Amino acid sequence: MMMNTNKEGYNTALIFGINRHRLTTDGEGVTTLVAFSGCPLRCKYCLNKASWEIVNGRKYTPESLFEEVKIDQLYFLATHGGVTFGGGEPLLQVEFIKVFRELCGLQWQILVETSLNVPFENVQAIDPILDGYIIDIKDMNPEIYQGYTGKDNLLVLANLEWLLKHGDPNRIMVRVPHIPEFNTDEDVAKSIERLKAMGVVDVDEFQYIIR
Amino acid sequence: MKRGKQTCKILKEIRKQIAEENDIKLVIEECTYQGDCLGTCPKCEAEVRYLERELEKRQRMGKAAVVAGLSVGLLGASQVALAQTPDTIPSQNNNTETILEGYVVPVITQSDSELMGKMPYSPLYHFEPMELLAKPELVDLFSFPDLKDLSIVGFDLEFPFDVTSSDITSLTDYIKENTKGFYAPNYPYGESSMLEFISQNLGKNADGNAYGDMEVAFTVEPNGKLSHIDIIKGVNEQLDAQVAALFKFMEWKPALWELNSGEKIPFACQCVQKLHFPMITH
Repeated sequence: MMMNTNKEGYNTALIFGINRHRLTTDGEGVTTLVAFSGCPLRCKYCLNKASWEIVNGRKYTPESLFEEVKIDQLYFLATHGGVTFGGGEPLLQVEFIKVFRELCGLQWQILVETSLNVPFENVQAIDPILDGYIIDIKDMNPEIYQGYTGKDNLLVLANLEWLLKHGDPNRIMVRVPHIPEFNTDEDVAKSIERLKAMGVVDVDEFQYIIR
Repeated sequence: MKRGKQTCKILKEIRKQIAEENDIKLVIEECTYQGDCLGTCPKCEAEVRYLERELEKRQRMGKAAVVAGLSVGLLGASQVALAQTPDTIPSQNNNTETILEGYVVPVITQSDSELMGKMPYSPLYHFEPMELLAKPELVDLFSFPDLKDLSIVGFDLEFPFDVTSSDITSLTDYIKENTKGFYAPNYPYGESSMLEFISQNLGKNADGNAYGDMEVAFTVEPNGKLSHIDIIKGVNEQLDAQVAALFKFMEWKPALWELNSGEKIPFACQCVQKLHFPMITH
């Protein structure tokens, strides 16, 4: 399993942003978005390219992160909110998030915004402690996916299939973007059709706008 | 920043619900601040801390603290309110995502904060070689300069007289009866001197690529020394450590209670200093 530990063996992660008081934007209730550095993909339109390599950001332990974000605990509890881990790719930080869950307890909602393009064992290891997933699927067509992200989507499909078969499909929202110059409306429709055939019940189709 | 104001209103409503449900006296004043609002401010944060203390007190007394799920319905309404906020990006549907090519966007419109995976108010870095050093700009000094704030922050102050009551209302009354007023702590040479002090002493070791907002919390002790220095909002590890070290060298004019007799008594007071490190461009 991919873990990020420093030379002393402590569980640390570089976090390049923490965004508080998001209202039903990425999960129920009031949430705080925590963005990890480090991503396996190289999406052409990535908004946070500084997050690609694990070199940028501020170093946290699960304990120091918990200390910082618990400032909003009252809001989390009152609204069924919590922390959404994004990035970068949060599923490269499985051990960190597991320890964080132990610290925050079960009353906080913990979601991940993920590409699912991570080793299968990472998904298996973290699934029991998560409340939900927001999955950016890009496109289900392997060629389109490869062209846009620079990587194949075999892991994505395998992980998604496993998640759908091993838990409530309602905990998974799959976002399907219209990606200018990379997919067409027809491609998006095909992706959605295939996702529904797999058992995805919550699909969020949306449009990228290039400024 | 109307969206920030809207967020502020919703969070305030949540605090109000928690207070009412738990019989906590919470006086929420109308916010008159006209500047940029990110949805919270030190005063809002102080209200949250006050609620936490009151809830803890109730739990210690064996009373139930009612919080879980209390404001779930409120958030449904907030979605509608936010959607109606005028500075939302016009779009064909509510699920638009803005793609910005390039490396870093130092100022992103407020509506972007609603979108997945973007961190509009967080420290971001770029990689162009920089020659200039980071230079801070003063944004704001938050302290507790007015007696009316005691309803929120009273427990954070140290009093120059015997305080036996922990009841916040009677404490406020007691202070009003026994003092003429309160003077906030300040840096005696002026704000621009403080910035110059920080800027000059960051020196060549500062990370010239670092930019963003920083918040330094500290206590001005009665002798003017600063203690309990804590970077509550950081830019990056290196810069945070350097700024914290510089604050240890500062001496401020302490906060003063003016008693009815005219005597002024210094006391320890917590402050939050905000610093802005602008992005340096060629």
